[in-house]
Amino acid sequence: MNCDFVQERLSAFLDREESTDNIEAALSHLYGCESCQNFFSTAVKLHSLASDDRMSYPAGLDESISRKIGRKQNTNALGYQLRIPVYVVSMAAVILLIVSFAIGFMLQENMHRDEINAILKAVPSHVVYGMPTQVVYPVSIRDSKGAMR
Amino acid sequence: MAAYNHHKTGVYRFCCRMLNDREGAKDVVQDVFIKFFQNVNRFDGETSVKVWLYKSARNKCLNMIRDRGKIRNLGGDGDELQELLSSDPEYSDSPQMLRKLLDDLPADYREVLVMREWNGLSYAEIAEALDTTVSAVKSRLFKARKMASEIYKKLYGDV
Repeated sequence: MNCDFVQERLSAFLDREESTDNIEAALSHLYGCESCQNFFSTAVKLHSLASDDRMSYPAGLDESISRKIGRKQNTNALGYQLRIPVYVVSMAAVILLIVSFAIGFMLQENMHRDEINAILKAVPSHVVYGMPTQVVYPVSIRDSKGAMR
Repeated sequence: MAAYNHHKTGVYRFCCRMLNDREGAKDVVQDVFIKFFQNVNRFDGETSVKVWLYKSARNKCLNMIRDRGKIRNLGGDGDELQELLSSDPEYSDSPQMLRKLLDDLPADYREVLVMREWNGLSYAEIAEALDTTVSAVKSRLFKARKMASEIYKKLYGDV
């Protein structure tokens, strides 16, 4: 059996990515082959050293990233993230805009009607139709016969 | 945010061992996660996020290694860079043998070895991150281990 073939299986076996059916022949080769034994023992040693080689995440990196992305994470005191989809926020903004326009329009209508009623009540007037705009003539500009001057 | 907390140490460890330089690793991790937050809506699952993060970190590390190679080829700055790396606490704290082994491995072998041994990625995840097949990962890992074994033997004798 070829050493490279065996070592490739041993390498995968070490990673638990080789089925046990395929490994039996490789293991029996391993017992009688010094080259494969050297390969396997170095691989196991490297595996063990790598597992022990732990390192902590740099302390300031969280803040640095947070600052660079330019926005505060939307979390509460428990660290729970509140996720609001973009389309919901957009719809809410549009609805808010429409409602504010409607309220403004209604208030404006009521205000004008009230103003006109107040003027009509206070000043006896004559309204001339058929012109591009509505013209209100106060009673003071009529002559003694009641005709318009 | 959960993905960031879950993967940040792993990605940092990967970059540290790829570059053997803490400052360089911090720069790469920062770039990777800024890009991640900018594209956060594109991801549909945990595997996709994990693979994307390692893929992105790997590409940035390779670019950095390539740039350092260019600096070395241009002239005397290579020695200064080596001195800078050796004075780095993270670099000098790690076991001497691992540093030397990883330094002497070509980048394409180092990346599979670090992804597997330091980060515990499955063959399928490594294959996805490197845009290759599982059998190619299996073969490359074997070659990386074989070369690591030879380097070890040359430097320190038999295990």
